[in-house]
This record gives sequence, structure tokens and C-alpha cells, in this order.
Amino acid sequence: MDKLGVDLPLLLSQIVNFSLLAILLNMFLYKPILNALQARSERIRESLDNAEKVKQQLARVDADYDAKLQEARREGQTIISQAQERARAQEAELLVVARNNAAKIEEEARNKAEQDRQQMLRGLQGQLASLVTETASNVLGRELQTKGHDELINKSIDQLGRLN
Amino acid sequence: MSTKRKVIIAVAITAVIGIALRRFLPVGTPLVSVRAEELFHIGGYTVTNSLVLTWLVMALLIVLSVIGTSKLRSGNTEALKQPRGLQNALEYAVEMFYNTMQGVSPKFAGRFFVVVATIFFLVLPSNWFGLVPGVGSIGLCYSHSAEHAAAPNYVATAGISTDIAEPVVAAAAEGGNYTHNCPSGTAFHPFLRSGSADLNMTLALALISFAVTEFWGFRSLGLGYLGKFFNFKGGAIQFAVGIIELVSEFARIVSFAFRLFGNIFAGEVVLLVMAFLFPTLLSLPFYGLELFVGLIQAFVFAMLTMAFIDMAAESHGDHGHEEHAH
Repeated sequence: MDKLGVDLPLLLSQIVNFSLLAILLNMFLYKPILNALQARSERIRESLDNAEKVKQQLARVDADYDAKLQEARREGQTIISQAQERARAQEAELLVVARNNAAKIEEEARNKAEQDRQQMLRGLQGQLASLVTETASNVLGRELQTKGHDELINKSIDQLGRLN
Repeated sequence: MSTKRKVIIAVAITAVIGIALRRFLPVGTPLVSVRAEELFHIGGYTVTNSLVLTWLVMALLIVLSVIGTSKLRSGNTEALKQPRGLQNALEYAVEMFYNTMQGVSPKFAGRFFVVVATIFFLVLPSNWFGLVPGVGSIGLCYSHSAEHAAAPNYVATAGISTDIAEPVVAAAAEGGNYTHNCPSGTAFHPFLRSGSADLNMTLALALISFAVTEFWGFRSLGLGYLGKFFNFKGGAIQFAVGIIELVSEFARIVSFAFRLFGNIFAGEVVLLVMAFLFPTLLSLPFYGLELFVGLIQAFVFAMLTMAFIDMAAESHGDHGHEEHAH
């Protein structure tokens, strides 16, 4: 062993060297770096998890938004259709009322016209009687006496009335 | 000028320089010493050149770690979010090694990471520092006779200087064992030597690896761990297998120590011999090879330690049930 240069103090000093180096490197190299690597991988996992979460949240918000939009659209549609229906009903109602009114007005007008005509006819009968009498008296002259001809006058008035 | 032509010209020029160096500045005999050379003594405590380089490597590692992780240790969130520069490089190295170890032993990688990672991060630079020019070639001539003398004999500061070729040749001719341009009676001691090229360090690491493995075996299986080696229940064959296991357990120390030492030391010898045969170019491919070998050996040492720890914790086949019943 001596020829190979193996020497107990040197051997021991190399063992001590190694132990010292192991302790120091553990303190200054392995521990800080392995801890850092672990911390980094944890941080990366965390970030990825967070990103996933945010993505899911975003998707949820998106879905919510879409749903709300759809609902609003549907509501709007129903409101419009309701309004349209109501308007149609109102229109029909109004039409009926207007038609009734118109019919009423027409009838009133007709009645009034009839009344007017009757009145006018009645007036005309009176006037016509006097006019006929007058004309007849004018034509027949002075010979004809009013007295004694009442029968003839009435007959002609009746004829007039029948003509009408 | 095409790249190919540039390469050819560069190679030709280097070859010419090599020939010139060979002709006018002859190199000394290559110096090979299995032992790590002593440099000085501190109160009866011998300091070798491999110990000095190990200290340098340790200091370098610690300084780099302290600087590189200072922001992380102070709780800087910006450094946590975005690693930069040295911190990033250290993180990369540690994380890659951690993942590799987790591939070897998913259960115990975290628990024994300090041991295997320190083996890797100490052995790798130790291997590579042996390849730095100047390591193993710059030094002093020490007097042979005063082997334990504190003061070296400053005969000639030879180093890589090759200008005093005559004495070297003379010394070599005289049959001096360790001649490196040093006068006879003295030996060249380089200031630095790769820690892995010294059996003290590789044996120390092997013993640590062995101790941790056995500790974990006993810790996880209790005294039943011994049942692996002293098997009286399975008949003669099982008993023999157990004894073989026991022998191989201890043989691991030797194989660990000599695998690393042999690879790195042999690599340095190869580089030395190649540089001796021809000063330039020749050692270039071997440099690439040695870089690779240095990485592989550091990795193999750490990975085998991890694998043995993993194996020690698992109970052996039918014994497992008995151990759990106890």
C-alpha cells in the first residue's frame, strides 16, 4: 500500500475534505437550488391552475351573457307580439265601435231626412191646397164662389195626397 | 480560403513547430510516479500536490456555489422567476444530475443526493484539472535523501523548461528512477496533481461510498441485512452465494478506488508519453479522449454508488418475507 502512495493521514484528510465539501455544497448548492426548483415547479403548477380557473370563469361569464341576451331577446319578442296583439284587438274594437257609430249616425240622418221630408210634405200639402185654390179661383174667375166648392177642393187635395 | 485548407495549413505549421521543438529543445524523460508527490509539511502533516489541487477544486466549487446561489438564498423572487448566468448554469447542472439519479434510484435519490452529487461534482473537476497544462508539469526538484525534510532542495527550477537537456540525458542514462531534468539524487515534484490520480482520494471516496451503502443496508433492513451474506437456510449453494456476495461487497471498495485512479492516472501517463514522443499534435486526440474519460468516470462513480445504495435497501428474494415478519 505504501508503494501505491496510500497513507492513512492523507486518506483521512481526503475523507474530511469530502465531508466538508458535502456539507458546504449541501448548504450553498444543493439545498438552495433544489428548493428553488421545487418552488418554481409549484409556482408553475399554481399559475396553470389559475389560468384554467380564469378560463372556466370566463366561459361561465360568456355563457351567462349569452343566456341573458337570449332571454332579453325572447322577452322583447313577447312584448312586441303582445303589443301587436293588443293593437290588433283594439283596432277591431275601434272598428266595431266606429261602424256602430256610423250606422247610428246614418240611421239618425235617415230618420231626420224622413222627418224633414214628411214635414216638408205636410207643409207642401197645406201650401199646395191654398195654391191650388188660389190658382183655381184665378182660373175660374170671379164666378166661382168659395162657398159651395169645398167638396171639390178637398177632392183635389186628396188626389194630391194620393199622387204623392 | 476554405476551412479545409485552413485546417491543413494549421496542422502543417504545428507539425513544423513540433519538429523544431523536438530538434532544438529536447524534452526530458517522462516522469511517472504512482504516488502523489509531497510538497511540504505542516507540523508533521504531509501535504501532497494532489491534496493541494483537491483544496483548489473544493475552494472553486464552494466559491462558485456561494456566488451562484446568493440571490436564491436571499429569497430574491426575481432570481426564482428568471435564473440567469452562473445561477442558471448551476441549476442546470444540479437539476440534470438530480434527474439522472432519480432515474437510477427513484426512491432514494433525494435522500442520498448530497453524497452522490458531491462525489460527482468533486471528481469531475478533479479529473479535468489534471488535463490543464501546467498541472503535473510545473514543479521543483526535491532532494531524494531528505525525503521528510521540510525544505526542498532547490537545485533547478526545471518545470517545463527544456533548455538544460544535457543533465537530463545524463541522469536518465545513469538509471535514475525519477528524472525530470533534475540532477541525480533529486526528484521532480509537480506542484499540482489531479486528485483522482492519487489513490488516497479515490480510496477515500470508495470508502465513503461503501460506508454509506452498508449504513443504508442496515438502516433499511436491520440485522436482516446480514442475511444476504450469511445464508444458512438455503443450503450449501445459497451459503456459498452469500459468501461470494460478501466478498464482492468488499471488492467494490477496491474496484471503485482503482477504476477511477487507473483511468485518470493512465490518461495522464498517456498524455505525457504522447507529448514526449512528439511535442505537438500527437496528444491532441488523447486530450479529447481524456476529457470524455474524465466525465464518464465521475459519472460512473456517482451512479454506481447510487445503484449500490438502491440495491442495499432491497431485501433479497425469499429473505424479504422473513425480515418483514421479524
